[in-house]
Amino acid sequence: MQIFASTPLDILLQILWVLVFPGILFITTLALLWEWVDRKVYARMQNRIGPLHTGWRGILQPLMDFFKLLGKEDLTPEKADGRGFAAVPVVMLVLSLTLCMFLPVVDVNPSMPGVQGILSFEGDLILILFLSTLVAILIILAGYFSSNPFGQTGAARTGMLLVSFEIPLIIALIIPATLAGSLSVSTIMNTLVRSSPATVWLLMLPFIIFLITSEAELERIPFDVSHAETEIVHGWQVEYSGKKLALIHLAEDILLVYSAGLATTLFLGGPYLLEFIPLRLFSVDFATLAATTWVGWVYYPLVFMLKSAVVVVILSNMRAAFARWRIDQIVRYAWRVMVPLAILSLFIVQVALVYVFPMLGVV
Amino acid sequence: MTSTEKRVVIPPRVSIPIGPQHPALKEPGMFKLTIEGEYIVDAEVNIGYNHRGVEKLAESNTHIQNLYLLARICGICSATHNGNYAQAVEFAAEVEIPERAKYIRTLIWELDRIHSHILWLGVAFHEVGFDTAFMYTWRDREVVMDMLESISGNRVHHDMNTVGGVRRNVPDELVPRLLRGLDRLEERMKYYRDVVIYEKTFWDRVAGVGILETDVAKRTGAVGPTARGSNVPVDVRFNDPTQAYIPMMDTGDFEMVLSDRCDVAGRSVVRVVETLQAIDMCRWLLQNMPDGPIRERVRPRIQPNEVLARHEAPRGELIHYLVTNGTDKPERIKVRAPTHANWVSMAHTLRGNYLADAPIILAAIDPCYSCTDRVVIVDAEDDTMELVPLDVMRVRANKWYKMHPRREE
Repeated sequence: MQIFASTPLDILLQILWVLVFPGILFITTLALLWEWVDRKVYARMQNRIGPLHTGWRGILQPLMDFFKLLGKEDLTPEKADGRGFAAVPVVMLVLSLTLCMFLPVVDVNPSMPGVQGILSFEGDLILILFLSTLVAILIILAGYFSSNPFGQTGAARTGMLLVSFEIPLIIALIIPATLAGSLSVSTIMNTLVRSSPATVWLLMLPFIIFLITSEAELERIPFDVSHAETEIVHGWQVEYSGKKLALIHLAEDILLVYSAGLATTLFLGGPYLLEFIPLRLFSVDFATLAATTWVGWVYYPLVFMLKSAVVVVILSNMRAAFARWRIDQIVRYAWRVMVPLAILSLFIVQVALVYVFPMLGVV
Repeated sequence: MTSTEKRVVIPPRVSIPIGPQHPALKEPGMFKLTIEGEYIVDAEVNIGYNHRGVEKLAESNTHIQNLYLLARICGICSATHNGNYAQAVEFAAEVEIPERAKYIRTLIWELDRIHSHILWLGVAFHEVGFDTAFMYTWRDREVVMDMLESISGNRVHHDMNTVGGVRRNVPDELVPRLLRGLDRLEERMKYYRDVVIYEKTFWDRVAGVGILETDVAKRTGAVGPTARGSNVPVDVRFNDPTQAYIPMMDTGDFEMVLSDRCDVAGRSVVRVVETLQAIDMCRWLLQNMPDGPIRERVRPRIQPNEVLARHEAPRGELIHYLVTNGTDKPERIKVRAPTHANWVSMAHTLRGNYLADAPIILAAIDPCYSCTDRVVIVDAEDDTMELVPLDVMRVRANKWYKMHPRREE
């Protein structure tokens, strides 16, 4: 929201952005859509059919599940901390929506070059990291507020996951930032898009690390220990029902949008696709057309969705291909493999930036 | 920090109930785990939620009726109870059944074993969160279900046996179809064997988990794959064969599947390899099935006798102890289901493991709660055991509900 709201029309426009198009409504729709993609791919991987009846091939099933949960009885355990218990789903939803506001989907600020997120300022990467950690802490709180032994065990496990995977995640996100020399998500993306193709090689390892860590942050198989159904009965979610559970599920879906979107933005070149074709028609003419006219408002979100969908499919594949690890195995794996790998990739990038790139003459 | 004494921090002990209703349990059972952090320091096995009084009911039924009643003791290994009871009555009547009937009975038992083991494999995959393999195994289980259906007409409760033989023949034109099905099963089972052994995330979850040492397994009387996974050679098919197992074992082609790993991985491998062996056994039975009648008439009144029929069910040794009294009804029938023998070592197996491993350790004995439940109250504190009659139970229940009234809305 860089334009200072000068006229009532601008204010109205900005409200529309936040509420409707690249904002809440769009992200929520995307969340439900990604849940459908995830469920469908997961089901097909398991030789099942998946959602089928609601809408075209069950595309509306996540929405129906959400409405169904809204209508269910909402119980709060007697021993639970009532206020905290009720606050968790709402705060989680708000935090996850806020996280998605930083993703550059369309060009909401034509005065700046390149596509910008609704919220974009120097240093927002750090805010994003802080907010995503806050989500994990919120999960811990949810487990303890419910005062259920399963919930508390789940919360303790979430804490272990947080301790293990936060560092590789941060390092994986820092690498694009060091390559671009900026701490703003949109600026990183726009810089990386215009930099030389050699950086693609440097981004591969952090991309893989980011995918694995986001699988852990999203608590999906093989890292779904904190709500392992057969072990601790959905862990921290065990006492949630009705509206609260609906909001929690929605927040989880939005976090999936955020993770896939962040991977798209920082590692896959954001909402640019045709611009990479080294022809004048695409790299100059079409880029200008998309950047200046309404074409961008259709084209950029579609490319963003396509790339995110690819990431979602990768994440679903990971979910289908493994068994659930035990928490001690996860922690050991994280500290023995993921953290050294992340530090190694940071090291490689630094060496490349300081010594190799100047030697080869790559900018 | 200056004190020379080493500080020992003991995490708070939390009691976590697994059951009576829990996603990891397919039937009601209660396992009270005391955990420190993630370690299980103590486990208490408390079963008895599914007692149905089948034994008492059986005493008022005729033998023929009991065949169908006992088949319903267990939904998964129904053929074993059904066949073993028929075998027990035949032992009591001292009749010899036709050769072909023996082969068909054994064939159903072995197909049932294949189906039960594949089902267990799916459950085991599910317990460790490997849902993809769970779906795959249950899809391929349909092959053997279809085979059973084509033989007996039923998918789950086959009810093939009757006193003096079997009720349905296996027509010759069915044999090639069954052999084709066995080929497909073998191909898939080889794949699952590789999944079990080489899929790292699954192997990490089962290797070294739920150790049941050989001497403990012997002492607590473990049976079936649980014992064989701990290198205890007990298998009724090999030790004390009946029916068509006798000629089958005489060929010397089959060897007892044993593992000396003593953990859940050992039990898994034993089951998977045993399934492959059962496929071979089915093939042998189909190829060597003699011609002849499938049923011998047996008079409904069975002479007074006292017999013990043993059979290797998919979960282990199943014992039917039958006392007949000269009428067409049993005087007493006592069922010792294999799960019952395996519960004894459960608390020992659970102790010292992680909470996350509890479901797979519980599942590793392939528990069948409704096979097992008896009204025996075991006091875990001082290891006393008492048989409680129904009226005392009722008094106790009323007292308990008076003390624990339902929460008001």
